[in-house]
Amino acid sequence: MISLRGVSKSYRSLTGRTVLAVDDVSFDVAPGEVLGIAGPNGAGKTTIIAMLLGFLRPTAGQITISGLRPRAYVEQNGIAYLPELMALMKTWKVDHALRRLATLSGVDGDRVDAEVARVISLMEVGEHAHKRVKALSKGNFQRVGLAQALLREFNVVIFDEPTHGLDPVWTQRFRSVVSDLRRPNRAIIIASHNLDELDRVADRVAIIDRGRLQRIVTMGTQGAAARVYLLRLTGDPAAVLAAFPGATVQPSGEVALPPLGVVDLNAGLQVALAAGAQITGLSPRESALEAEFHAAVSGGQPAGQPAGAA
Amino acid sequence: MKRGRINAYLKFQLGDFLILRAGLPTLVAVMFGYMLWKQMSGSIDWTTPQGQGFALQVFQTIASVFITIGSFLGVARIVADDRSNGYFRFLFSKPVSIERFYAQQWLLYGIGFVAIAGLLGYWFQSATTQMPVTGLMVVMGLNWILIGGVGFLLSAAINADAAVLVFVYVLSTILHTLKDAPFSRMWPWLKQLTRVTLPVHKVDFIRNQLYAGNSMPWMHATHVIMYGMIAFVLGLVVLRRSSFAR
Repeated sequence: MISLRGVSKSYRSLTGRTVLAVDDVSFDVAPGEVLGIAGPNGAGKTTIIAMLLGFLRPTAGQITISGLRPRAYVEQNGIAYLPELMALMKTWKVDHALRRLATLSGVDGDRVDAEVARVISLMEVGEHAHKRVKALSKGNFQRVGLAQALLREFNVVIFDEPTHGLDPVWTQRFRSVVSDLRRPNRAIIIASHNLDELDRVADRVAIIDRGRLQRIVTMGTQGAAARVYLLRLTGDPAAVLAAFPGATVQPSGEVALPPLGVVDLNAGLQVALAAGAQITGLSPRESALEAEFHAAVSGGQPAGQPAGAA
Repeated sequence: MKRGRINAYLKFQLGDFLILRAGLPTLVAVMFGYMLWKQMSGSIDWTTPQGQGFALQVFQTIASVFITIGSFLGVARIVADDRSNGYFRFLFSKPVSIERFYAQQWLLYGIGFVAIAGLLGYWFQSATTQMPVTGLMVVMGLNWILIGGVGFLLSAAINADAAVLVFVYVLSTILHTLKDAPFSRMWPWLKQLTRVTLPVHKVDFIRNQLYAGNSMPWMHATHVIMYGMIAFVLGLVVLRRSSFAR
């Protein structure tokens, strides 16, 4: 559905220096899929998204959405988009802004008020509906941004840092919002710094650093909950090391297990216990995605076994 | 997929026009006109040739203020505002054509200013004597096509459009004044350059003709219309072919 092939974007500064923001990035997003895009600040995530919406043109390479160039696709179909840098005219009232955007979204005239009321209720911004945009807190403004993206059923959804500014309750709610948005014919892209969030909602995560696609981590091959665990032991760790190939003894004496799902973890523990291991404690250290991310942005290999790099 | 209802969005653009664009020039024109009329209405008989001449002078002054301020305020940052403030991210992720959106806005603003110029003209005429209201509307329209067209191109292309538009306008006015001055000794290359600057002197000529009750000088009008419309169409091409985000 969405295809990027060798996409690059460079900018020329006033002094003539060329800055490469995105460098030879290729990936696909299939209908029905949720793709996360992770990367440190300035990695090129927002530039990629701006090109997906046709706001920026690639310097090289090609982007297509359902076979169309991005701008042509957006003009014909629209994209449910929540930008990282949200901006609405500060003097507009929330319900007025949503009515405007519903009109541009193509909501039928007789349905505009009902759709606006629906998304206001969904995002629980009813008490702010008649407030001016400038009076909203960051979190409430973010919810209004989410509301406008949900005014109509679009086949492509792109959220850029969607939980930025949301409180913990709404950060958790966001997961169910994404879950409800899943459709067999819909591609969803979520760019975020929040690896835990992507871990929970994405099918795959593209890790971008310094403009380049470092790797794509497929979630779910070992379960989205695959994590790196630390075991505390008394006595010889040999039984544990034998039960968990790839496990390493840390300087603290703890044993770091490779990324594991719950089933594999318990199976390994049973083997280790049967072989006489004395386990005094077990704690998760980082998810498989966190391990992949740290390895990708530092240029090394992930701790333990990869969770399914493509 | 159903496209955005850009026609229905016209009502929001009309609201923006009235609040953000037309309010100030209209207020200035009304206040200015009212003060002059109030000051003179007791002492001048508008039906005498002297009164009619004075009324026409006041009319021209107010019209000039409204047309100039209106054209500049109307078109300044018409595209650049949405781009530099980031409003475009919400507006143009919807199924709408960017060029269509701004073409509609530009046209609406132009028609709006012509309509307001007509209303102001009739209001002044009703308070004084017969005035060239139709001429005023035509001049407003031509000025919008010229200043609005060039301003639109600049706004589509750069974020500092307002300052550049004022600079281009002032430069054009100075160059045409120098070129048309008696015994002008302009360098040939500067004369050539002057030919391609804004034909502001032609709008002035058309205005003088129409306010004097003469017929429309179509040669000059065609030049002004072509100049402004080419700039406007180039603005649409810039929107179509270049990255909107800068």
